[in-house]
Amino acid sequence: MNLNDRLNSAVTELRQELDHDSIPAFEPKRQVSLASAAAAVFVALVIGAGLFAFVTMTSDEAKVTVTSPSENSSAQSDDANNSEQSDDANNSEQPEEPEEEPAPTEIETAISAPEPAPADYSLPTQLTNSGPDEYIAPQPGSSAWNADDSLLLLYRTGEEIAAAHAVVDPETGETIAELAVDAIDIEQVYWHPLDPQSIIWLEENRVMSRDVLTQEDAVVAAFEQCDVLTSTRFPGPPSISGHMAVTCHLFDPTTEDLATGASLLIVDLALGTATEAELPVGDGEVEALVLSPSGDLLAQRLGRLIVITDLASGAMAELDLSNPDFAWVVLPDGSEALALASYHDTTPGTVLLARPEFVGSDFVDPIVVDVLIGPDAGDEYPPSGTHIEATVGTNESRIVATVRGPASGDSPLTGQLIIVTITGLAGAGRNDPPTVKYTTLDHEGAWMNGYWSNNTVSVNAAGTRVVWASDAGTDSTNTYILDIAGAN
Amino acid sequence: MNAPDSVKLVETFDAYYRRDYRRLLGLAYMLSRSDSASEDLVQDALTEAHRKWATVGRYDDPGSWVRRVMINKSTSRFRRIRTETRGLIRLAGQTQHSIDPSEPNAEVWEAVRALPTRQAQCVALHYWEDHSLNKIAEILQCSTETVKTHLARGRKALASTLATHEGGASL
Repeated sequence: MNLNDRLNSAVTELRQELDHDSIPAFEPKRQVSLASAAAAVFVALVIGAGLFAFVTMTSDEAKVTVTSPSENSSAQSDDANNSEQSDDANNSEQPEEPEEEPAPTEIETAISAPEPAPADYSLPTQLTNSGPDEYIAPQPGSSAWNADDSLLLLYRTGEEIAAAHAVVDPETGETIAELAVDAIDIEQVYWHPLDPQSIIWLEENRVMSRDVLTQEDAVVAAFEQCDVLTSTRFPGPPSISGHMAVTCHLFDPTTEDLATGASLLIVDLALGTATEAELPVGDGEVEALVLSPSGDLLAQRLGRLIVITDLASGAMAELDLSNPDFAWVVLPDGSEALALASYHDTTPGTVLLARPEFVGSDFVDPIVVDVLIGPDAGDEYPPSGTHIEATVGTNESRIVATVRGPASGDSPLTGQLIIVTITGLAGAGRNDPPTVKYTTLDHEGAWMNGYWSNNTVSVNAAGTRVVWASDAGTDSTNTYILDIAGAN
Repeated sequence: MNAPDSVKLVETFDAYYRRDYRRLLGLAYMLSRSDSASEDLVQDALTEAHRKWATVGRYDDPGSWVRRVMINKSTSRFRRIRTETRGLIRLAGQTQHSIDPSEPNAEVWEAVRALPTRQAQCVALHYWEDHSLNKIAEILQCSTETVKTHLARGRKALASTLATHEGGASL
């Protein structure tokens, strides 16, 4: 008997059993008597100390979960989820069911509104000097900073300029080297996380590296079982632990195209080896594979979703935040979280923090999302694209976002560089909201010239320096640098 | 004078309760550890629905809402403990239904309950409720891709546990 037959047989038997029984009259649950409550506590105590620990935990579950408003089904979802949140919020084993209706499910901030801190940092310095229709900028989705913060990787392009990478001295702006790399995508060239002098990229079925000073190439790892390695359509930079998530593809000989069903390789850049796994979701159509700083968690973008997978257990949880920009950040308690930026109207803010939480080998799903900067903090939605970068160092929990548009735009955040510092996690519970401070600064990036003039941003691992691109309302784009050690 | 409510309730709570109770109980049974716990879970979800029926009853499919509440309750770490605890208290002959599956089928249910939470939910909603991937995704508030993945993995794990063939997908 195959699996379907066994399951269907069990289902049929269960249906017959239930159909045979009468339906009891509905009796809404009422308040539990004191005696029953005492009995419940007694049984809980008998069951064990671990159980006791669970039932005495209090209301730190009552947090923001993010869903799309406005649709009927979404309204149902909000209400349904809120019903459960209400239970948890009232659930320090109180015997009474709450009489009042739970709070409305409008998306709201879970943190006390952060107060903009006075600016206390250096003035930005223009680091590059591009000509008309020339764009020199940090790449989106990966760090411009090398492993010891001594060099920057920028790319130089333009309508009539052959794209190339430039290694730049962050102190002087001097171009140390120009690199012509045969990567799958110009934006999929990364600093080697363990070697401050090397970049890495994928080429056919190999992970390649280049010493940026000697210009010598080397094979970091080769995978004969794959025809092509990709880090998907969007950048998938390596983690600071020295691991990189890539997809292994085979050609389909019948169509001479890439076959579906790509597998996932977690490449150890130090050893040149990889562990192979099933792609958590999708079959190669994923848009980004970004490992957390530890290499333990994988964030995978799939359309408007971000799926987070614990690589050890395979546990998955997902965020539906309308296709945000995202980056991993290390929080003050050492845990890993996703910093997200979005400009979409259905998301609750500009800068968000999603902190995955485990129960045993499962994620708590849906993941709690805190609004760090958003309408509830007195900020309006920006009208257009937001780029984000977060530090992955452990000294600072810092997130930097840039919002596209002229500083005089139609939102207080338009054309702003937003420097957010997570100063702590307020309470004892893992789910307690973070405390944050933030500062803003005009970056004058008006996005006058299309994609290449995007206001990409990159903060170093220590969270002390940031570079970003701005067209300053002109027809060329340059990279600017700012010391933010004293910000916030 | 207030304007009359413009949306007509299509079904009374009582009618809904009678129509959907058994299916909810079966779903809860697949996801719970005991008869009493599953009854308690259903009662909890239906109590929520009853309290909010003026709103929930207007939904296109109130059953989806109730299932989501029930699944949320079943997966809440607090709720799971509380439900099991209440179930223990109520055990003394108070359960309305005593489900006693045959040996091979009991083995199937044990295997389903041993799956990771999301996989078990997807398997239960697919096989017990006969829901499509889209409907399961709507109830669980995730993508159909995720449902597909959980279902495939759940089936694979069940086939391994039950030492049987997976058989063809009936999606």
